[in-house]
Amino acid sequence: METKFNSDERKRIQEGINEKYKRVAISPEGDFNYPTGRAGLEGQKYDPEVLRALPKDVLASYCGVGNPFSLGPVKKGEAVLDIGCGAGVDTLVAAIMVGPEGRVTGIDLIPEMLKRARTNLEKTSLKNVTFREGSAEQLPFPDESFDVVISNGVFNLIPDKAKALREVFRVLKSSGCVLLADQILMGDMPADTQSMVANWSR
Amino acid sequence: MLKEVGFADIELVAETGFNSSPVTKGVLLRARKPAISDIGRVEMERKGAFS
Repeated sequence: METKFNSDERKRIQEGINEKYKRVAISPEGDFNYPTGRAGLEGQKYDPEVLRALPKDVLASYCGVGNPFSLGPVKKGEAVLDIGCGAGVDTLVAAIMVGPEGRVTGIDLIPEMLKRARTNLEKTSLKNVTFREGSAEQLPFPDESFDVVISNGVFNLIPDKAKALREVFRVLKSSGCVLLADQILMGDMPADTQSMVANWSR
Repeated sequence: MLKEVGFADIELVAETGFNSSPVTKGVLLRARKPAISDIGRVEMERKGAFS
């Protein structure tokens, strides 16, 4: 059962996320209990060949909770959406996997993160990547636009998860896959909504 | 929730071993949007017709 937040609670949740991820855009180290940087990518067994194709400081900006690419193949020529792309490392990994005939779009709500993602993209020669601002709860794409949707550590932060999943379903093509690395709550939602809002992005 | 939305072949594939708090668990999840030819089967599953 999902908690429904009022507009003030949603605003406070968004402010907490913005504040945290502005810091993360500069340096992800120290802000998470899970992997960051090149060591984090290697520890989660990202394809070493793909990692070698990306500059060191791009890899250093990685933060994620798992390896969505371990869940299934992203094939040459496919269209991929990365929801909550952050600094864009997974987006760039996907772009290498789909090759020049494929295309990858990363969306994020945090302008500082998108700026970092675009800076990272400029350090590569990839031409099949687009970053844009957007909410998972209202994806700015037509129906059936993507073969694969990936997301890494983002859905746990979304206030209305059911709405976001309906949007993923809408933008996926028939037989398209969603590959998620994320945090799930074990047990019931806390009864104290105010405490939940205050701790949402911690 | 994935099932309610209409996804098929939903799998919790693995735990990542990285947990952001004592009450959360890192996981890897995969699901598929049914092909047109699957839609009847998935709708029956969603409604619990096979359980």
